[in-house]
Amino acid sequence: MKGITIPVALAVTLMAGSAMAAPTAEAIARNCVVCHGPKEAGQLEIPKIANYPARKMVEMLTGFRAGQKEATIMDRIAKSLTDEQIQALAAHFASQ
Amino acid sequence: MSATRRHFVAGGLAATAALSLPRIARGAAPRVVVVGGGFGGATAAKYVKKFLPDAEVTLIERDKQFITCPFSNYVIGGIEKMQTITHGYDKIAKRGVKVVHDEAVAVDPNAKTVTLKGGATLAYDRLVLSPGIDFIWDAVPGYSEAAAEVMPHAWKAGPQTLLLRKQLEAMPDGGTVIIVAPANPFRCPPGPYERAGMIAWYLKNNKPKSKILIFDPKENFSKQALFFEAYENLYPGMIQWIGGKQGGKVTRVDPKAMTVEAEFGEEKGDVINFIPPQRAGKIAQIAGVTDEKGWCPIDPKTMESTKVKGIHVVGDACIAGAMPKSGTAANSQARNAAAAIAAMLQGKEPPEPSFANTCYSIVAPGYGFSVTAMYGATPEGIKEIAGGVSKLKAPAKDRDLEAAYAYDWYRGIIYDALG
Ligand SMILES: Cc1cc2nc3c(=O)[nH]c(=O)nc-3n(C[C@H](O)[C@H](O)[C@H](O)COP(=O)(O)OP(=O)(O)OC[C@H]3O[C@@H](n4cnc5c(N)ncnc54)[C@H](O)[C@@H]3O)c2cc1C
Repeated sequence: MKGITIPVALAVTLMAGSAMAAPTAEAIARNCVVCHGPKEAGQLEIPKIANYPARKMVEMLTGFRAGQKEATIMDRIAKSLTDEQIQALAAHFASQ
Repeated sequence: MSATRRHFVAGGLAATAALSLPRIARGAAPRVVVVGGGFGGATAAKYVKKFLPDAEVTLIERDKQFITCPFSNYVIGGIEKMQTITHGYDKIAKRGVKVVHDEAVAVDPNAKTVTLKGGATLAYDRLVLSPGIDFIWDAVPGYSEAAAEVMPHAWKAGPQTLLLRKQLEAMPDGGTVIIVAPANPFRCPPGPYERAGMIAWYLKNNKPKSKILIFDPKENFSKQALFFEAYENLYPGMIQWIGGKQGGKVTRVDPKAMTVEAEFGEEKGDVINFIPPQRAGKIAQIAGVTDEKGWCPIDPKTMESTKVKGIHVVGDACIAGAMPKSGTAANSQARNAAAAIAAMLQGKEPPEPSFANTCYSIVAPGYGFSVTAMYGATPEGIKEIAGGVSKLKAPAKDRDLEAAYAYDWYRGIIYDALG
């Protein structure tokens, strides 16, 4: 391996990729429903996301992630999501 | 030991060894025992039952009711009642979780049994421990369990919460409240500073000449800039924070004289809220899953103890890498542990976990802010993927919205854990 240099950014991507595998949409979604709960939970202000239209959810989450959509908290959370995860979460909640 | 007794024990062990593996394979219901019915334990029990309906899930909890630490600061500040933070176990019992109100006093990881104070012994295939914290009473000279009746910690909600509230009510206007914050790691990193805000809310409206001193061994703390901004906006001049650099580390307390001695000097308080250093709840130590500092190392993918196989530890008791010791974190860890346990009991590969934390702080009615992050498992522990705190100088409507969201978060987590 002597003499081969891996660009730092790539090395980081590789490390991150191998170290943190991808959870399923179901596993991620269980975190979402704590705040965006089922109606039995009785929340008043936080929007419900069960049966949310998929296209709209993709638009919301990508907007939050890019800091283009106004948010109190979802901008910070959406930054953790990849494009694939956003698509998968949108499909998951749309079909509930 | 008599010959018959010895014979019985030996025979029993052999029988257990022979049967322990085939039991599930033969189609018998897997047995999951959960110790601790707080945010971690109640969630774990509920979700194991959800993921594996055939499992026999037993939740062992000392108390008949769960009084939550979250929102207990609002009881102390006088904007909420004990009733708001008191919950029963009837709903998860209806979901098929067997709730036993007793105390776990022993764990035998070889025989895979838990012994209760009441005398019963329960066998498990997988055990979950979520005992929360215990206090290290003697860490600071002068403090003790008895001293907590004079200088309440109010860091486990219940009678201590009410004691602190009563002391504030009895205090004269112009008095001094001292909050002694612990070093890291401890339950609820923003908790002492939210509490200062809530006490200030009460004092501002009832005893406006009073002041609050926060003694702290740390040089910085969770959401610090947001707390300082809020103190300045809402309670100018009332709250003074004395951090590690200013000599805020407490070296001795005197419950008779009501004094606190710190590196910078001594102060007398009318009300002293002393929050002691902490470690994992005692049953974790008994089970052999704690490290030399008193916390429990775990495999981040399954939350299984790295010290004792078959025991999963979630919540405040475990070492969860970048995650704080919070109710939301405990709840999230417990769901992932439940998914891992369900998979392992079926001989499947545990799924990849996804962890989250959100902690709201309310420092006055309609004034809230938050810290939040998403986390993943790595071989080096639980790491943050992304997150952050609310913006400084945010418009009043955002603070108001986040205070409302805090209430929704509370409704949601109570439903997720106990509903
Ligand atoms: C003032 C304050 C405010 C807080 N605010 C928030 C907040 O806004 N948001 C947030 O996310 N977190 C908050 N927290 C933190 C939160 O309370 C804890 O992180 C959370 O309770 C941890 O869950 P746990 O399951 O580990 O422990 P706990 O919830 O404490 O549950 C442990 C349970 O185990 C039982 N137990 C222990 N040992 C045994 C035994 N041997 N046998 C039987 N039962 C046993 C106990 O009785 C207890 O019910 C706050 C904490 C404090 C002190």
